[in-house]
Amino acid sequence: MNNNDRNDRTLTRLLREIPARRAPATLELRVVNALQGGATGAARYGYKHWPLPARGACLALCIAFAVLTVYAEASLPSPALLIPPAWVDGAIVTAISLYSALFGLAALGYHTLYRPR
Amino acid sequence: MTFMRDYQDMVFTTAARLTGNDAQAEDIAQEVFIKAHAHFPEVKAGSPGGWLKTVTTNLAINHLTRYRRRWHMFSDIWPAGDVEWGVEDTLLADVGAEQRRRLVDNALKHLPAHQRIPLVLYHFDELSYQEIAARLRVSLSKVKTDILRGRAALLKILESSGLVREVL
Repeated sequence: MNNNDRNDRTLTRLLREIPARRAPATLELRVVNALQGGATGAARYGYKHWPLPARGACLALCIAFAVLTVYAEASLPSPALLIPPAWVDGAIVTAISLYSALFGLAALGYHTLYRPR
Repeated sequence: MTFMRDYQDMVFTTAARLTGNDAQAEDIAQEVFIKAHAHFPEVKAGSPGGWLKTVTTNLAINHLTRYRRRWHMFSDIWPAGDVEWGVEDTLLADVGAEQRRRLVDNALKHLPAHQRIPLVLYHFDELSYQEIAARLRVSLSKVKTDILRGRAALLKILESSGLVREVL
C-alpha cells in the first residue's frame, strides 16, 4: 500500500469519527427571528425585490435629491460666475465619464472573480 | 424548535467545514432551517437528516461557487508542494475526541478553499471523486489532485501541532 492509499484510509477513518461542532447559541434565535419576518424582510434583498411603494418612494427621493443638487448648483452666487460655463459642462462630462469607467471596471471585476456561472 | 435542536449541530458543522468560516456557516445554517420550515411536511416525511445535509452542502457549494474563478486561479498557481507524506494508522489516537475535533477543524480552516472543499466532500460527506467533480463542475483529475494536496497540507498542519509525525 503506497502513502496516498494509507493517507486516504487513515484520514477517512479519523475524520468520520470526529464529532460534530456545537452550533452557536445565536442560531436558533436568528432562525426564529427570520421566520417571524425580520431577516426575510424586503430590506435584506435587492432593490428589485422591494415592495412597489418602497421602490417608488426611493426613486422619487433620488430624483428629488438630483433636482435639488442641480438647483443648488445653478443658484450658486458669484464664484460660479467666474467659471466659464464650458468648464462646468466639461467638468460634468468628465465626472460622468470617470464614474462610468469606474462602474465598468467594477462590473468587469465582479464578472471575472465573483459572478456564478 | 425540538426539530432544530436535533439537527442544528450537524447543519452548522457541515457548513463550517465546507466554508471554513463560522459566520458564513451560521448564515447558511439559518437559510437551511428557513427552507426546512417552508418544506416541513416533506422534510419530516422523508429522512430529515439526509435532506438537511444535502441542502446544507448545496447551499455551501453555491455560496463558495461565487468565488469559483478566484479559487480556480489560485489552484492553478498554488505550488504542488511535497505530497509524499505518510501517517500511521494510529493518527491522533492518543488525543481525546473533542481535542481531535478542534485540531482537525482548525487545520481545515487553514486549507485553501480549492483543497478544503473536495477534501470535506470526500472524507466527511463520503462523496466519490466523480460526484465531487460533478458537483463542483471541475475535472476528475483536478478533484484528485486537490484532494491529494489537501491531505498533504492537512497532515502538515497537524504535524506542525506535534501530534502527527512524518513517517517517511
